[in-house]
Amino acid sequence: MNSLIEETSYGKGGFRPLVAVPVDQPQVTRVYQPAELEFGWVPIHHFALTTRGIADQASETVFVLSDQLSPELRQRIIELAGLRPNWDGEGAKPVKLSALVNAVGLLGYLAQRSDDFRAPFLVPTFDGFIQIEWHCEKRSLDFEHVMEGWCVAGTLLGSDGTRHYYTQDCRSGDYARLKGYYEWFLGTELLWPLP
Amino acid sequence: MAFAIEEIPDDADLFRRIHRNHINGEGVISSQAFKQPRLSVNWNKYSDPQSTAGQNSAAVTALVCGQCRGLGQTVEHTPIQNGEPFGPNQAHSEICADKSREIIRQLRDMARVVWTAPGENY
Repeated sequence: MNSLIEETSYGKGGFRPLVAVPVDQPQVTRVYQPAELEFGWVPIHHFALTTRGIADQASETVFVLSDQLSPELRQRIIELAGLRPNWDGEGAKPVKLSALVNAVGLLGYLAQRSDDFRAPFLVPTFDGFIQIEWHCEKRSLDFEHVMEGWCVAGTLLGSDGTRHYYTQDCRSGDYARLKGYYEWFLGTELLWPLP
Repeated sequence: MAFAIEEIPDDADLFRRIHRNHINGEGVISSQAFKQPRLSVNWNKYSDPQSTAGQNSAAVTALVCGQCRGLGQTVEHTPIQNGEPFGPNQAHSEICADKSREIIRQLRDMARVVWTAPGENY
C-alpha cells in the first residue's frame, strides 16, 4: 500500500503537523536528544518511539509546553517550529528547539504575572533564534533570543517625532527583569530613558 | 557582456523585500528583516518594487542610499552576472557593515513600504 495518511488533528488545541505518514512503512525514530538542549530543557519522553519525524516531535513538544498561551500564539509557535533551512531563500537557519522552549517559558511567565498581557509578534531570526516583539503607537519592545540570553531593545517616539533607542542584555532565565521591560512597554515602569 | 559596477548615488532608492515571517498582520515590519551584515537590496536604477518581491514576500520596502550611509553602512553595487546563482540581476546591491541592535531598528524605521503582496492590507 502506498497511500498516505495526513494527520490533521492533535487534539483540542488544533495542532496540525505538516507530515504524511506511510500506512505500511511507519518510521521508527530512535530516542533523540538535540544538541540545543544545553541551555534549554525539554522532557525527553517526547522523543520516544514514534511514527513521525524528529521535527514533528519537536513541534509537538513545544506545543504541549505552550498550553497556557492563546491558540493564536500556539499556532504561530508551531509555524516557527516547522521552518526549514533556508526558509527565507537567503540562507536562514531553522529555529532552534531550545529557543522556542525558552520563548514559550518567558511568554507563559508574562501571561501569568501581568495584568495586561498583550499577544506579541513572534519572529524567526536569521541565525535560528526567535525575537518577541510588541508594538504600539509610541513604543516598541523587542526581546531577541541570542546564545547568551536575551537582548532587549526598546524604541520610544518622542513628542518632537524623534525616535530614541535603548538596549540591554538579560540572562536567559531572568524573567523578573524581562517583565520589568515589558512593563516599560506598557508605560507602567520607568526604565528608559535613564535618569 | 558583464554588468559594470557603478557608484550608487545618495538619492537612490534601495528595494528590500520583506519575508512574510517578518511582518505582522498590521503591517509592522520586524527589525530582523534588516539584520544581515551584507543586506541584499535592488537599486532602483535597474529594478522596481514588484520585480524585487519574491514568492514569499509580503512587502517590499525602500531605503534611501544616503540615509544608510549616514548610519555608517557602505552601499556596494554587486550585480549578479548571467550564469551565476540568482542571476542575472544588474540591480543587486548590498548594504554592508556590522549592524548593531540600534542600527537594524533605525533601518526598520527608515524603510518605506512601496509594494505589498496581493491580498495584504496594511
